[in-house]
Amino acid sequence: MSRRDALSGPGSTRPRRCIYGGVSAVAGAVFLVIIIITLMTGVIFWSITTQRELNEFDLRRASQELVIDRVEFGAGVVRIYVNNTGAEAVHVVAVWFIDKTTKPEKHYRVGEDRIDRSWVPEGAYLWEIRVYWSAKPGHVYEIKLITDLGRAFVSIQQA
Amino acid sequence: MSPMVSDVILTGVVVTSMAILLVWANWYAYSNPSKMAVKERFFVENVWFNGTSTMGIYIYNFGEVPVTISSIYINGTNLTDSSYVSGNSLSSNPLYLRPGEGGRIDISPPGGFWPGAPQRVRVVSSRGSYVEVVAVVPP
Repeated sequence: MSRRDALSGPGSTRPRRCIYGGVSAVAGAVFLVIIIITLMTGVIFWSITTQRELNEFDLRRASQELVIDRVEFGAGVVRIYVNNTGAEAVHVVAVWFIDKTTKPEKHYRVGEDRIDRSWVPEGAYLWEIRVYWSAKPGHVYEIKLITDLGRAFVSIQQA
Repeated sequence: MSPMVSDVILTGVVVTSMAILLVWANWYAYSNPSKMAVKERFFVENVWFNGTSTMGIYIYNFGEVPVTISSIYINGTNLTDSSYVSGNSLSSNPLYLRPGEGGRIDISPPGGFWPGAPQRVRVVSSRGSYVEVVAVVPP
């Protein structure tokens, strides 16, 4: 007598489905393994990629270095001369002028739309950034250059 | 119903549900929005005071993902309800900043600020990231 006959013969109480059944269980198990592998590889791959990207980003940010050499205040324009002593080009996205003469201090933010030559190339020496803004003669200003990577470079100058 | 038919139906159900689960697992592994928290990058460009009643802060998003500023703490006290974006309370109107965008928040705590007192300002995003700055109230 074969195993099948023995299991499902007249004397057996075991349902016939048990012999053929199990297809859905196998399919489920295969899918489960695929899902677990997908999840694990996905999470590991994502973590490695993201960590590398963020490390590079933070490194770029830390390597930004601008030195404000001097500032010239003209009629409606402020010329800021900077040296880029860092390892890469710097993009200035905003300039703050903080009037230290008035009490209380007044804070002015000038956006990129009023800044010319805002990209300071790597190694630039006395690079002129033009900011279209009017300073009050004789007032002392704290000038803060804001970069696209969230750095601020400060200098105090008299108009 | 024959065992063959029930097996086919059961297999179909398992395959379908597992396929849905597989799509979800793939989405979770690669693009779950909660993972964007580690990519958030923002900083406080400037802090200023209007007398001793109001503090202004300007926040810039220099990261690659949008940031929503949802809470403000000063010296450990939650002042979200006393913070305003364009005149609207921050608690009901969080500050949404796309990459490369900046925004201003005005904080008017009840009782104002003590002249000369340092203020530890913590700016918290909706994903839980935060930055802290210390500013001193003018004497």
